[in-house]
Amino acid sequence: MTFKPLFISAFETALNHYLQLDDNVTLFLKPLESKIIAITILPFNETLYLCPADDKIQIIDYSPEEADTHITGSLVALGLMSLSSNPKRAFFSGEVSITGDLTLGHQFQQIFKKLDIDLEKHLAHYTGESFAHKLSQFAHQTHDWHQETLNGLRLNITEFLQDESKDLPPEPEIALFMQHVDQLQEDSERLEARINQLGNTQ
Amino acid sequence: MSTEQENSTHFGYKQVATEDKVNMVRGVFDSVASQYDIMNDLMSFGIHRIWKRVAIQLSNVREGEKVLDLAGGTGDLTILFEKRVGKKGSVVLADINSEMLRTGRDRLIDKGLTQNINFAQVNAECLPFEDNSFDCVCIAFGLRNVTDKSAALRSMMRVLKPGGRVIVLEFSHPTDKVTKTVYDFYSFKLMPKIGKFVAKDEDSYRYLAESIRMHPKQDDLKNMMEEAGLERCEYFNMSQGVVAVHRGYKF
Repeated sequence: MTFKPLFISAFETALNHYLQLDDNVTLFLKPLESKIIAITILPFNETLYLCPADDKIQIIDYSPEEADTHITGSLVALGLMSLSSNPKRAFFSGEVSITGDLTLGHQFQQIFKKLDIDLEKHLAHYTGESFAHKLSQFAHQTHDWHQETLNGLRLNITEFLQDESKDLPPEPEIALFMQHVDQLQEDSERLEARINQLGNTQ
Repeated sequence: MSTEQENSTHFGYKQVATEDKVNMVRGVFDSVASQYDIMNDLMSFGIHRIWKRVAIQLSNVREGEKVLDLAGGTGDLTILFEKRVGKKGSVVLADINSEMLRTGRDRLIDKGLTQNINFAQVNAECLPFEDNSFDCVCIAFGLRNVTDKSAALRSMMRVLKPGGRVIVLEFSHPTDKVTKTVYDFYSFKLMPKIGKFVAKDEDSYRYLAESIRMHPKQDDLKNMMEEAGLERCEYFNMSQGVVAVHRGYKF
């Protein structure tokens, strides 16, 4: 029974340690100050309330005040949303639902993207500047090489599947198709609402 | 019930006159104040720090809130609360015992915590604060020493703001037989001996063990909180019920 508060306490400490790695975290958290963001994790149906303060995020397990934004989703979907370059996709595919203040939800998601953590500086406290610099340079080079290789591989596979074997449609075509699907969905919802309204007036 | 019974209360396993209990409890804490922190660490093997952290987490205190730390003694919880409320919030460290309060105040001043902490020597049964003035009232390891617990809970309820919560962290009753047997042996046989050896005070630590046994069980305390007007009352057992955190909201 005491697992939850202990977990929240540990999670809160870890999250704030992570946030503190960026010197300008106050800049990102200030606009969210005194708001409450509720996150419900499925299938456990456990809700955590995140309360951004001046330079930290406090997590509580119950709030008598209503949350400004309520985000619901499975742990995987929420994790993917925060990592994804296009978090909106998670909302539209229905894996994550968000109610209340949508802008606040978006701003909150952006915090983790905006964080600029200078690992070299923090490492220098422990290892000295010269070693930290060398290590960070090596990490950057490895990262760049990986990125470049992966990017090349991705482009080659895309080209092969889309242009040569023609197994997959190109991206703009999918976007257009999805746009049509969305349009159709909206139209059918409007129609449904209109039919319901007509049914009610009779 | 005879008048004699009405006017008496328990002090550990002894029955004493109601008006005498306050002084007797004061005597116990005057005697242990200087060694209080080291004894806590020794007797709980340091686990009291985890119990306190859980209580703080369950208090759901946010930045800028106002907290009353009753029976705050040497200020352990006040330090943790101060971190949560930040500079915009405030904590009142209150205790009935001037010796404990003085120890707590000195300790907090030594840590440089003065700006948003106030000190008050109060009796929990009749709190000298305005109605609806605190977001959280916490009493940790103190309620069992209060003579009239119901009056204390009503008083805490009164000073709480709507949406505020009462947190009671207190020794309780083990939930299984094995823990109970080990715990009984430890608290009746070993604890007074440790008290005698370290704090040179066996009786005070015997009172501690006895007063824990006389404290209401988890469900009874929850009912008392509900009777005082608190809502959404629940409790969280820790270390197999050796300690429990009770939480109730005022809506």
